[in-house]
Amino acid sequence: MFAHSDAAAGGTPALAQRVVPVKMVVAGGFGVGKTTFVSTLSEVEPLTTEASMTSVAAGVDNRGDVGTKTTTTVAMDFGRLTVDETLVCYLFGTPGQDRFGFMWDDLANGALGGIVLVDTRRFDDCFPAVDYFEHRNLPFAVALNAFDGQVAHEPAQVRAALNLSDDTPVVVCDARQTSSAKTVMLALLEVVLARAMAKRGG
Amino acid sequence: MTDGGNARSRSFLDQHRPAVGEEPGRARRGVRPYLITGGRTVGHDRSIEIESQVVQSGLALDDAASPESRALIQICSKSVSVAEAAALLSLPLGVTRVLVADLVASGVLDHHRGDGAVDDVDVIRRLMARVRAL
Ligand SMILES: Nc1nc2c(ncn2[C@@H]2O[C@H](COP(=O)(O)OP(=O)(O)O)[C@@H](O)[C@H]2O)c(=O)[nH]1
Ligand SMILES: [Mg+2]
Repeated sequence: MFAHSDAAAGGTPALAQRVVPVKMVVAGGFGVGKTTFVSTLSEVEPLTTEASMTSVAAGVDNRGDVGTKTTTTVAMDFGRLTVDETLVCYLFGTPGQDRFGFMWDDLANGALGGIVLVDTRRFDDCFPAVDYFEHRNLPFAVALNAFDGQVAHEPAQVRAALNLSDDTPVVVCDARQTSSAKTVMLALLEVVLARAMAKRGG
Repeated sequence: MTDGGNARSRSFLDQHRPAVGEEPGRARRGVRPYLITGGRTVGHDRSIEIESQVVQSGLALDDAASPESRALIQICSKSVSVAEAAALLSLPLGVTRVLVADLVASGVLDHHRGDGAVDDVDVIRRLMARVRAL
């Protein structure tokens, strides 16, 4: 039932050039600056899409029937950075609340890495994200947003408190400023690059 | 993974109080939420990621195709991600995924993922250069 056009002639977009997609996940507590960070780095106004998920609370009730399913709808925003004609990077902000953790797999699957934004006055809010990235063995950077113009805890303190691995960067950041968001991204990409080079070497 | 992660989780779980309007989590204590719930989308196709690129294949759409499928095909005149298509169509991600999967299966859309890019040194360097240029 499909009319065949001139695909064989090589003139179609698909055959012209394939665009390779990569992505980064921007995580952290509610109101910590995820959307701001994404929009600072994105070349377009961040887009929003509704992610509707049926979560199965497996094993909780020991029944395993449909009664344990719940559907949740969350808005997810993301930005785009076109590198060149064949490479594009997406920045996905996680819906902040930890109860949406079940949908992070969708975001983190195949991601280059993660950025955990931290408001040092509400330090605990970052724990689920840090736990998650460590659990996935996904490289990540921790960015401390200075909401009152300064951070309540210095990077070294945060590193110790979170018991971060040596190769996880901790940087002070203002998510509203391009230069600052860039620094965070590059710190993360250095780790991503080091891992890729180590894999290639070994 | 470090052992510190466990200590941190316990501290988080001990201190966490559901916010107003938030459902009290079942069996939250001692189990990380993302391990309790295996998140599943209706019609979820694991092979189609949110960043996966979709683009017209050159095959024409069936006359009986739905308006949503037509709109999706229009958007895919250039390569876009599944997430972008969903946002531009104002359709939920899950619905868009199902539409994409159908149109990929029938050959109207080409689809590909970014597999391998994570370990591709050249890809990472190009992205770094782009970020530096911001
Ligand atoms: N001082 C300061 N304010 C910020 C920073 N990042 C975000 N904000 C502000 O904090 C508020 C919440 O940010 P938003 O990006 O919506 O948080 P989200 O819930 O994590 O997406 C907004 O009013 C931002 O302007 C930052 O780095 N420093
Ligand atoms: Mg937000």
